[in-house]
Amino acid sequence: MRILIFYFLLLLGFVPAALAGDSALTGLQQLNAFLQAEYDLAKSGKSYLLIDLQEHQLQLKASGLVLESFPIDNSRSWGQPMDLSVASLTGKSSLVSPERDVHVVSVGEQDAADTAQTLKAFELHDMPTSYRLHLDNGTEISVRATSSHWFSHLRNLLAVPAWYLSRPLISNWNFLWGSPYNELALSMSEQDARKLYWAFSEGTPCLIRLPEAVAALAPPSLGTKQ
Amino acid sequence: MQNPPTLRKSLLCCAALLILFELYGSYLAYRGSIPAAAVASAAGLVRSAEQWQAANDRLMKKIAGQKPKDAYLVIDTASNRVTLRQGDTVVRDMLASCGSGNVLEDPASGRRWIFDTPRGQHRIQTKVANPLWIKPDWAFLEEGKPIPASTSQRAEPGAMGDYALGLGNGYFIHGTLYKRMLGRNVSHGCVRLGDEDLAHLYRNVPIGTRVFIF
Repeated sequence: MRILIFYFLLLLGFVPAALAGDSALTGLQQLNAFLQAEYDLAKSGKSYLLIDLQEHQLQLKASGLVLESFPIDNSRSWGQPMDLSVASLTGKSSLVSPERDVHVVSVGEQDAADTAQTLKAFELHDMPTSYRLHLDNGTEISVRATSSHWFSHLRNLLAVPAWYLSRPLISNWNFLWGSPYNELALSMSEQDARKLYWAFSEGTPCLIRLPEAVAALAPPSLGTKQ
Repeated sequence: MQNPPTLRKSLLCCAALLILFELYGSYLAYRGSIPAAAVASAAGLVRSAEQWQAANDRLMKKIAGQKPKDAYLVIDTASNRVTLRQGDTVVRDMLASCGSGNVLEDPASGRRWIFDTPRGQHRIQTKVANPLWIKPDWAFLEEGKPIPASTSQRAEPGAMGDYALGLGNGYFIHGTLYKRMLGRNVSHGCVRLGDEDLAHLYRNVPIGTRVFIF
């Protein structure tokens, strides 16, 4: 039993030890790279999403303007989710994906036309509250809505150890297939989770700023400019 | 059945194996990481904290410089709201109707329409008083009517309200006959507004105004 406890403590100590920062300048350097990447996005004229884990918020922006902010209640990261380089959203997946209403009509088909004119819209409340976002650099972002219900608190409490215990196994599995596994888990309010699903559309560039503890370990592609 | 010591050993071996997998998975996730400071030093960018702070301040100013200097419109298609803003100040907040997201298919011609409001950055390209709606093919299909050959048969006055502000590609900010539906996603991609809000925009928003739709 003592051996098991020793192994468990070793495991708990491994990740934090790996993430320890080594310089007071790291934060400023990381911010510099983040700002440079954002400046390039702002110049492009496209909408873009900033995931700022230091400030605990997501911001949908265009030309430097904040169009919408989504506060993050909680976040976890695994691996090296993005390295201050820009990635784009390639897809979204959820257990129950929202579906558009499709009307098939032809000239003179009054019945079909009546169906087409009935009010059925693809609206915000049709969006899921728990889903995954897939970025083109392989990073996965899982979004889950938080709730004030006690069951939700209990589920979130149990989800944390389960998450940290399962991710190494997923990393091993992905290693077998030759791809690294990087994930970011975000939890936010139900309304914000729905709105993020709505507003963050495929092709939209995205930039992640990691918390300083994680950012201290920057991947080799980190760029720093003025 | 195994005796207790053997069972205990087997369980310990399994646990040890699992922990080894966990440790190796953690190593795989973070291998190759090098401290950011080391990267910056390797790139010849050795700076003091003050220099980094000054560089960051410059970048923040450059980002802020990308924002529109004049008034601009922000259209939130999820909340069906249009805001007229000047800098960070909201000048007017308006209830709207944006695209329904529905799909219309015509098997006879093989055409397909998706009624989304186009997202991204646009500009007000035209401003028209008493606009005439030239009904597109999908409008006739929805009504179950034959598609007319001449443009004159497509014209429908009054359907777009008193004014229309063109965003390009056939999309407009215009009025509506269905004011009860403001706040819902019911349009075919255009942005519908109430009469007073539309008149305010027509009077106060010049051609060339930037429009951000998300």
